[in-house]
Amino acid sequence: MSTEPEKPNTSPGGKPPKRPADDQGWVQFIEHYWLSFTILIIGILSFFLLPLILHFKTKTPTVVAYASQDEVFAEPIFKDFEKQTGVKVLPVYDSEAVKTVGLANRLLAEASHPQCDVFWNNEELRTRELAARNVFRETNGWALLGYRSRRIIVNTNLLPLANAPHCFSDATNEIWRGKMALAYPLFGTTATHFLALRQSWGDAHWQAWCRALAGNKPLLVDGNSVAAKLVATGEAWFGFADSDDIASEIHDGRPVVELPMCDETLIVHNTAGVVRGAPHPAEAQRLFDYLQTREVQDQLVQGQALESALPGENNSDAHLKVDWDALLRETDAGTEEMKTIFLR
Amino acid sequence: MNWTLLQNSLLVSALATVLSVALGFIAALWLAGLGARWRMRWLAAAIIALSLPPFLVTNCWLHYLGNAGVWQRWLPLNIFSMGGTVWILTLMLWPITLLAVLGAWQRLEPSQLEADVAVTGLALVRGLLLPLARGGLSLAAVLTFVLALNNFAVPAILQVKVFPAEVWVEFNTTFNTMAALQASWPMIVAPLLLLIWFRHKAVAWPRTEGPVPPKLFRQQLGKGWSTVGGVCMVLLALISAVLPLVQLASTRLTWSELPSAIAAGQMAIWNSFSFAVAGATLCLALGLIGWRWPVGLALWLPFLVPGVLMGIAFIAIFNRPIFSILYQHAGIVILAFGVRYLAFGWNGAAHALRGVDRDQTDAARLDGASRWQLPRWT
Repeated sequence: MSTEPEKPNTSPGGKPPKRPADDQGWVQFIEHYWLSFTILIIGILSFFLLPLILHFKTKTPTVVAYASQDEVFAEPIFKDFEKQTGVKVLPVYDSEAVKTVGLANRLLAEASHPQCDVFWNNEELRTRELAARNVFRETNGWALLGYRSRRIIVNTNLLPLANAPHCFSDATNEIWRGKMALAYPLFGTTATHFLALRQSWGDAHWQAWCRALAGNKPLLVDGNSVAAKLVATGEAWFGFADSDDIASEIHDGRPVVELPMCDETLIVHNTAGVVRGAPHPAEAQRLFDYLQTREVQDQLVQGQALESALPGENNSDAHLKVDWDALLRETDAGTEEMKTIFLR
Repeated sequence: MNWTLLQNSLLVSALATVLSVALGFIAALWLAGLGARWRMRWLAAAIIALSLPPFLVTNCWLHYLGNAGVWQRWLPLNIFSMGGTVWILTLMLWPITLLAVLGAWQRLEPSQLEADVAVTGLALVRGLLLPLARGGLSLAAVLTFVLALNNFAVPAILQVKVFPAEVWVEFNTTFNTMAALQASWPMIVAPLLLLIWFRHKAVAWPRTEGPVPPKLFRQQLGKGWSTVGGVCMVLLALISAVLPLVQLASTRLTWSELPSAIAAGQMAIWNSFSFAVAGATLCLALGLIGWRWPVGLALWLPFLVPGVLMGIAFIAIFNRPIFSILYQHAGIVILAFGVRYLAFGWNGAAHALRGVDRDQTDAARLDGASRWQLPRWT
């Protein structure tokens, strides 16, 4: 009696299936499922072997850097650092979906068992918030780097410069109804800017301005780069954005300009900080020092990620002077007011 | 709790769901009557539409219908509105229904269409095709609703204030993860209620014959419905897949910046591919192992919770020395993908394996088919 299995008498395709001989069955099986096998092998490799390989590979000196600076700017700087020091940088970048706050939340969640050595941030307020929560080491924990700023971007095809608003407070004029774009003031550098204006003008004046601004029906979008793009494509005549986003639109050949700084302009520093309990403290210090060098800052200025290579605390140009400690204390109150005004 | 935002979110999601399900179902009527080769081509267009990033689709429609849009003169529609938001979400999400319905109709058998040749057109749709697709339609509706409800980018750009903004404020400005989780409960509970509601709506319909020949399907459906389905499918493919790609390809910057973007993001491209494959493999493997366990509903929870909050939970659980090999490398990402999307693998495997004819499996086993041969032959 043969022990060879009999084939089933029907198949999903309705066709009578061919009966495989024992030795050919596996060949046919693999031929039929080769794609599934390939995917399965890649899956197993990725899940089990890659982490192991990486684990042994990373026995060379390494430093883990969380970077909210754009990957396109940060990557060459990390590569240069690796060349100069022999220390390998393992970078973690923020994603467009969660932006800097994703990394900041990650640092807080990892505080009991830190994974990050150096946090390179392009939003000063978040660094100060993290510092207030003891995320950075006690001595020489973090430093200001070069800066970008909050500016008004104008589409010159739609709005001649002579007629454009001179500064942020002019945006509430009724003639700009439906003509401007900005990111939701509850998020990112726009939030910092609005909170700084609140500190500068006082709550009553600031609230009146916010209400007038909201009443002017601006295009409120989910990021500064989107706001700059809406102005660049003519959806809005002018808008509030970060200087690097404006530079990017100018670089792309769009008919836009940024207005000069005024006393309502906020300077937004890049910062670097060494995490408290960093797993690789010596390497962290080297990267921390390297990021503060003039060479790195000049490279960022050249790429238009920054406006100035030097911290702007003593900048003589007109700009908002911020009491950061007070701003941190006022953040919750200001945010609640903005929720009421811009999210209702 | 900001009720206005919640109301906006529910309205936008519900309208986008109704429209997506209706259009996806009508398009499926035509596709089910096509031969395998053409069906695959149109399915490819649908999958492209599903995988396009939201900002790309939104940018495309701003280019055509925005205030400075190139079609604005002769088509003065206001894209910055709830209608515009529903429109774009629909164009992104209709393929979910198409795929679900076509999957459900795989169980349709020739004898069911041939039993009464007088049952055609609307009677066929109401009496046979709709009941058979009910389970798939329910699941597609819930998935579409969840994805529309969680979408923040499209409504934000088109000036519709939606509930996810409330969650973002907690996460973004106060770093309060628990408050963000509390704020997001309507986004979890609403789809969960729908899932529970639809749980027993699927009709058990095991397959005992081969699939329906496309010609027979077309013949029974009738010319009218086929034409409507065809026009719908072609228009959807053109509007939701071809148009954004053409707009992207016709932009000079796309080509000038593509090489540097690829050069800068090589690692990211590889990671996207390998993590997705590994995550999908993990989901499917777990689904095949445990499809009989009655946990299908609970597995949807990780999919419904906002992703950032799930990420924080993973950090809290796995950021410990004992898990360091997993946490410090790709394993944690793959595991997170596996947990987040397990519901698809698990329920998909359970759905497929429950559809197998038990008599056929028993016959194969009695004939000596091994465990490896069973999936191949049954």
